[in-house]
Amino acid sequence: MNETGVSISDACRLIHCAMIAGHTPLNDVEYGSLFERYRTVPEFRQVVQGAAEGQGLQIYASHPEYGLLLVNKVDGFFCPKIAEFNNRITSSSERLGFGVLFYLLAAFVYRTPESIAGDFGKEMPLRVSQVVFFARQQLQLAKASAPQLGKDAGKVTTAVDYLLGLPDGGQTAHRKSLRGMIEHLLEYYAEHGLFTREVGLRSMDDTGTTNTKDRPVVYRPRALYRVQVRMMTNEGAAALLQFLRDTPTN
Amino acid sequence: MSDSFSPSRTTQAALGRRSKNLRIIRPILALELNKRRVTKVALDLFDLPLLAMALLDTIILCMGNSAEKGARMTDLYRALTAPIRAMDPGADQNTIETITDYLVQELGNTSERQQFKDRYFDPTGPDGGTWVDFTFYLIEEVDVSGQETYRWIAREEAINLYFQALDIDLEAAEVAQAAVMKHFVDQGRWREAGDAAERAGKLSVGLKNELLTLLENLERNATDVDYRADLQPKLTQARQHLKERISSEYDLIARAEDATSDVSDADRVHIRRLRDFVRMAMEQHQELEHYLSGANDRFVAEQTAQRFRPVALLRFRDPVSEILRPLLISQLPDLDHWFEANRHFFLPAAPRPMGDLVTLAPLLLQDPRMPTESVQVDPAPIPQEFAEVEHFSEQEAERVEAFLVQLQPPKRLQEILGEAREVGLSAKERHLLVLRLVRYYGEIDERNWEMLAGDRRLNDPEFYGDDLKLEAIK
Repeated sequence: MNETGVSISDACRLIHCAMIAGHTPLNDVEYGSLFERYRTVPEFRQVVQGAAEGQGLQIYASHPEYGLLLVNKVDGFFCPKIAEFNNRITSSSERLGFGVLFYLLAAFVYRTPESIAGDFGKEMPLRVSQVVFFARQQLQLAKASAPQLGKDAGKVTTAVDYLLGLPDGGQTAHRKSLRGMIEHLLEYYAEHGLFTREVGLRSMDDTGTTNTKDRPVVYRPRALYRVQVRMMTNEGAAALLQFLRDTPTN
Repeated sequence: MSDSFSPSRTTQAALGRRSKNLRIIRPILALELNKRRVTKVALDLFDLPLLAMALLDTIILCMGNSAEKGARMTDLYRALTAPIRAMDPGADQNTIETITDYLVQELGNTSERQQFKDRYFDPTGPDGGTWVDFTFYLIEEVDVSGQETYRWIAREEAINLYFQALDIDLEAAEVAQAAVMKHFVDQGRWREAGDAAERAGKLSVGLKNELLTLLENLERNATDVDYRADLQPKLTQARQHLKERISSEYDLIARAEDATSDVSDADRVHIRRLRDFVRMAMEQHQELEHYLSGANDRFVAEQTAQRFRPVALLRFRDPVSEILRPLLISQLPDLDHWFEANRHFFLPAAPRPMGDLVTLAPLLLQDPRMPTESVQVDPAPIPQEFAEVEHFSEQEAERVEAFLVQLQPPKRLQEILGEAREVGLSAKERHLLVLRLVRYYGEIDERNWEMLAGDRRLNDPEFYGDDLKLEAIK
């Protein structure tokens, strides 16, 4: 097999390695050697970039510790549909709710533009209850500033109305509760390598009681999530704000 | 050494040492403020600041362990058992774990309480300066190896706090501690020498963290520092100090190993402890020396890079005020479709899931075939097509023929059948009539008749046979 043939198959292999959740050049020998080649051989890097582009992927960043950090392009081959993200979405309000939760979670993890631009590996762990609390806080703030905009609120459901109308969820993780939706989002991200999931310390809840039996699940953002948020708050936010400006409201 | 120069003079002006130190000790004070939140254990019995220092002490010691590079929760539980039991002899394991968890949560700022944040004025910001949030926590859980092995480490604030509490200058303390150690070794007092080695080990961790943090801060702000005048003499001094320490540590280890054969079993344990701590300190010093030896090159490279780096490489929008708020209050009916169409911004690339054979197999597997007794099977009679045509009698055929002759086209099939019933054709004759009309329409054509489908096309799915129309061709 000639050199080009080897490079193309290796390039595809490298992309495949980068897409496996939890794989890094440090914990996988094959990934490590392919990634080293990507960093050092410009021809190989070019082939990898071409192969990624052909599959609807974008190499958003590369890092010696975290490897290739890939994101989807529009209608990319590996871009899941919303139904694959959650096949229980039954209404447009729910889809809108999940869309807003993507940004709510990003805003919870990275409160400032500086923290989004910060170094990899500096993320703090989080729990579902913390995100729910933050979401309620932001929704109530938004609701308080919305009355002057809400003349036709009866006709169109805003994300605030929908999400505030949801039950808290309590102990059960029902899909249609705010807690359930956030839990689903975090679980999906954990399953696809954007977060790690571990059982945390015994926690004190807000009422001051120490929970000794059910240790809370702690999610920790990984480098790939920072990249995804960079895309959301850069290209994604530009497109979103453009859409908000251009589309007339009812 | 850190007192004589600072990475950022402007920030130093606002965030002076005294005011910063006052802020830094807040988490320790907050331990007392928040202890009512723990209802399971009466924390009034315990001296929490002292336990916090014991916790920091353990973490700093574990950071010197080259294999672990930080403390696990089990290390912390174990380390706090003795001081907690000293305060309350009846404390059980559950109490110890609850108190340790509380300390970790508070010092690690896992709940992000307000006490752990403060604002300071940064005069270098736009429009003559800005107020900046200063968030800090004393300990942090980090991935020490890059392979998702998380350990608790003390941040530089905690290390400063710890050594400030002891009120010592690290370099001087290291030299003093080494002298103490040498004295005890000379005297053959191995137990005291081991204790001194443990303190020396912690000091080495403190020194390493202090110097590394300082250098990293300087590299970030390389253009503000007069490297030749301020930094180089200090680095030379630090290298000299490390060289002396490493050579002295080699000497101590050699002496400890020589003495092993001539001492009692109890002393041998102390010697082993002494040797382990001295090795730990030596590793810290070697690592630091390695870093310092490359400091010149790294600083020059960073200075060059910063000179050519644009002020802002990438401007991200503020996630809360610029994106979330407008999004939450917008009333767009099509926004959900926008999320569907632009899902690539939110959803990570994922290979398509393959079918799971475990779930597929039960669907594919059929019940096993059971053997059945062989029986004689009679073949089904072959239907004879159009055989019924032979069953019409000649009289019936004549009556149908007569009816057809007097028929006045155009007429619908339904109307024809109605007329046939009126003139008294039997059901069998009407059957033959339909056969004549439809099946033998070729004969009809010979009589200048034509079949039409009314106003509809024959392939229209809404078309019914009743709508057939017979039309005479002129």
